[in-house]
Amino acid sequence: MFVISQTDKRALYLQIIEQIKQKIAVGDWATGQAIPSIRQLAADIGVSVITVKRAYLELERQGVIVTRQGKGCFVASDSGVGARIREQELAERLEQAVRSAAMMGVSPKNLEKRIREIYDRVTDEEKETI
Amino acid sequence: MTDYAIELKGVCKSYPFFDLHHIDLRLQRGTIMGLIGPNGAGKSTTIRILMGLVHQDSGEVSVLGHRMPYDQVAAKWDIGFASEDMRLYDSMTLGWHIRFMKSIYASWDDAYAQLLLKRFGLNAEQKVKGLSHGQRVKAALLLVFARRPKLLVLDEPTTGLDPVARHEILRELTAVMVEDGRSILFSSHNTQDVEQISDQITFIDRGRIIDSMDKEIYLDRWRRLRLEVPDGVALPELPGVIGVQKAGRLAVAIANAFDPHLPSAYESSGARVRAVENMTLEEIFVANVEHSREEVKA
Amino acid sequence: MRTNVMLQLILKDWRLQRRMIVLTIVAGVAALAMLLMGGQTPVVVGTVFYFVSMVFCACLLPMQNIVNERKKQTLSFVMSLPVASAQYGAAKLLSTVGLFLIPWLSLLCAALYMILVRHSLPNGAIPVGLVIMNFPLIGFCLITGTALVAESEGWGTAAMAVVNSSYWLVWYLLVSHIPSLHETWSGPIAVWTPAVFKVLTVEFAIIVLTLGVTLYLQSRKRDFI
Repeated sequence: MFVISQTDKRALYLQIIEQIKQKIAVGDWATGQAIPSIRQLAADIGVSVITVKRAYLELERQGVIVTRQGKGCFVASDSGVGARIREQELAERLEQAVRSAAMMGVSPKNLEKRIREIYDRVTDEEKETI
Repeated sequence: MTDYAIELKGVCKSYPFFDLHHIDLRLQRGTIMGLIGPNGAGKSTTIRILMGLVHQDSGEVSVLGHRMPYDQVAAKWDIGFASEDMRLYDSMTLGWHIRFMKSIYASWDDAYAQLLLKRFGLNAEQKVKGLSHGQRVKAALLLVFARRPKLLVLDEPTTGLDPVARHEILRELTAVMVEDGRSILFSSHNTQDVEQISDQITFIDRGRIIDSMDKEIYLDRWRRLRLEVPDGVALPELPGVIGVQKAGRLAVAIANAFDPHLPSAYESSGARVRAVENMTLEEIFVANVEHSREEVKA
Repeated sequence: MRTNVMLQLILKDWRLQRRMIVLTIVAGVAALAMLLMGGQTPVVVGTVFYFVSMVFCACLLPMQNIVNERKKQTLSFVMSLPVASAQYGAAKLLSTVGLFLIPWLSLLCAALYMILVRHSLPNGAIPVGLVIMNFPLIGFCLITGTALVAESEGWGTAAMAVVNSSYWLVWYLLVSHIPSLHETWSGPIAVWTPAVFKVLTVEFAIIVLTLGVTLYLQSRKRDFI
């Protein structure tokens, strides 16, 4: 079940990519499993074919899905896919954070200090909940 | 068989207070095109010309391989048309209209029609005059959908509909595309709808096509840059930027041909880029129309 | 396939207008029934209302079948069907004329029945009656032609006004110039003079001409809307 939002700041195709990755990461779409065709998914979500096509192309480029000529699209069958997705997400978020910091003129040393502060705080919170 | 479901080349039409200038438009088979533009831009006229209802003054029109308006009868067998100013017969029931369509079109899918009646919440026994505006629009669209035509030409299909009805219609429109080879051209004010389901977007204003391209590429080309401009810094005029609004030390630049080097180009002039934002189709619509009107004036 | 679309359009018009047709026939028959009462007043009133019911149909049918299609915006719906302007015009003309002929012929037969079988009026009335019966038919053709070609309610109404005010004038002119028309109408025998035949021929020619010109002008149109 895909829910896209027009008020989300990100482009539609990015939302679709993220939701597909989530489905794979949690195991709803198993590795090696066949996934809906571009046209079918577009109709299911209620978006243009071209948007889904763009999402699929990007996912294929990232190695998350594969297209087999004449057979359709499948979740990549290598078992590291779930972990790779999560790793990719982390990399993207780190990049975003660092870019924002750089734009605001935060120095690398300051940035490191702040990351450490946040890390300590988060792990403390986790310890408390456990 | 041509690759294009619709092809307009250099189409011109003159009216006392309005002109269509050199319209070039191509709808690829198997895609949806959203036609957007302000009121009076020429959307309805363009649609009427491609349906063969109005004869162009010059230029070629080809729909599903048929020359229009000469071959309009042959073309209309495979075209489903609905427009905002179209009305059904008030004194007749929706069921009568369904039987009427069935008597003409062999492609009528009765099972699908019954399904749509349920989905749209319509009653076949009800007379058209008793229907609300939204129900009337849905009824007219039902009569088009259930024929499963190769091409759907819809003039403002979601205008005046409540959010639920709009959602129902958008669902059916995207469902049409599961079948390869079917095409849709629809005009709308509702940029959200166009942004969501179109494969291709065509902008029309004052009788001219301003832009016509792949939706994803189009949305990607537009950005809004929020800039901080310290005293003494002059913002350079950069290619791909169609307008800059400045108030005090803050400025907003609108780019319609965004280049990843654009932010750094501003930075090297002394300004600071605070944010690079995507624009919604509505924002693009307004910026585009204003920009193109300025260009025509100049 | 093309003929089927035209047929469906004609059937559609019949379905939409059948109430008016039935009403006209009922009104005309009711008017004729008054003749059975005998006496001068019922006969006059009856024949006048008989004539009026035909005139009513001659005016309203073109307005409802032709003008309303444009006014009520159902024209776009019809134009989305696989049909071109010329075919639409032809189907519309056929359905309108066909629809009008139903009450016209029925009431003509009803009147003949009243004359020949019930003897409510003398047989001498038949020739002049036929001449008069053609008036609403001609009027109908003129209004229909105008409504179809001019595509406007204004012109249709103007045609109605002109036609309706002309009936009496034409009748007066005919009667004053062709005495043989009214000389024998109260007689027991139907007298078919050459003058009567001439008048009937002219009436027929007007009908054919009107419909012909209408078809021609309609076929020359380029745009639907």
